[in-house]
Amino acid sequence: MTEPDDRDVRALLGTAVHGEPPSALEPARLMRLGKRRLRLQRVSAALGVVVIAGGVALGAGLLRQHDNGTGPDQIGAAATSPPPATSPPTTSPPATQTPTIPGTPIVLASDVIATQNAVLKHEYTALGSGLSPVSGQFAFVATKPSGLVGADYIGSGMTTRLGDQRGTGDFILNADVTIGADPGTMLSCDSSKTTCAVQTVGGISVEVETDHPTAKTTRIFTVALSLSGNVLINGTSDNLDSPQTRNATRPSPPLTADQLARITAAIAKASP
Amino acid sequence: MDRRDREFAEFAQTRSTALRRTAFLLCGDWQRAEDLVQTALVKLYVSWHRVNRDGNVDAYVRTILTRTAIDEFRRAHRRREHLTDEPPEVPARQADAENVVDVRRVLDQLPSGQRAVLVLRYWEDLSITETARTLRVSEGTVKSQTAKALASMRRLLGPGTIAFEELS
Repeated sequence: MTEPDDRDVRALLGTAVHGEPPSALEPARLMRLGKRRLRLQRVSAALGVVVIAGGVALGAGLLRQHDNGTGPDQIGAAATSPPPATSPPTTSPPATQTPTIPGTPIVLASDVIATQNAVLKHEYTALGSGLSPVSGQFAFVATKPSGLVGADYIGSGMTTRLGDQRGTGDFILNADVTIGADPGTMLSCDSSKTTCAVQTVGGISVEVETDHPTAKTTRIFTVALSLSGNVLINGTSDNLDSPQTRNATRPSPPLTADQLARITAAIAKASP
Repeated sequence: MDRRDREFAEFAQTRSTALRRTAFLLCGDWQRAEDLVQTALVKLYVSWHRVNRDGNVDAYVRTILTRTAIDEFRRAHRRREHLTDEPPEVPARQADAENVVDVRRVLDQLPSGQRAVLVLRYWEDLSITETARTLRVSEGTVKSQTAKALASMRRLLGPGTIAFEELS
């Protein structure tokens, strides 16, 4: 078989757009939406410091409820830097946030990400799972863009591979900044192919999904979604070493649905 | 109507159809394609002065469109996708009209990265360098993804389909 000519591939792709329906895109509507987003960014810029300060205060309060014991050595370095905010809200220094002006990203402040990391470490240590990170990062870092809410919003995320004598599997957490998110829409079980339920964990609503192997797949995953304020937490645990190679190295995901729900709810609670 | 609105309206008017087709090739659904274009154009409106001053409006919109499509795919993949060990059975050739279905089905089965490379290189006519810059990957990755995407298309289209013969 010879390499196809570029024009052949383009023609082939052209067949896929055959039967194009009428478009509802109108410049006037796009401009209205654009103006609204500009206004939203300006309001967010004004309110951002207040929101973030509230989030840090909440995180600090939560941390005081936790015993701040040290975690396993294997997750120590990444998860403990930078240190969490621990002083009372009334004496906390002003929260820092990247200045938000129209056309620039709205971000999760570094203080909030530090708080998420502290809570992650605490909750993971409390699981006593016996699993150790074998690759990836075990700490939230700033991420962009979020496909859910657009590239102007920067959240945080982490991907690590956990392992024990039974094998390895992925543990992924993402915190996406959203504005005007509707919990009813965000946390709604809409797949008939998975086991899904919305439950309350520590006062936080969590949508928990699980999937089981079928005749055609060995993939098993658990997903937990939680929405707190304007931050959506998405946690996933998977028994495959990667979607590409599809090697199931464990009989089940490293974290159970309950464990994932607990961690996800705790992170959500600690996020503004 | 101020200058931003005038310039933006002209751009949106002339480019939205082509952008929607590109978005459709990236996501495989006309409604989602329209949502993707709307997202990209609204973001463009917000950043119009800066992007227009830099003189690369098309590249900016294309980058937003592609990366948003990939991000949405990966998010959906994490939440909903059910992987199969084998590709679905290839239906036998029945009529010329099925060519459209064949190609859409195959595009849907390509990994998001390969699909994006294919669309950017062959539909948008971007060079390897431009494609790499848009996707924020290396040129080597673009080359390997292109080869894999073409190989996958041949394999998935199957010898019984019209589209396969066009690609052979």
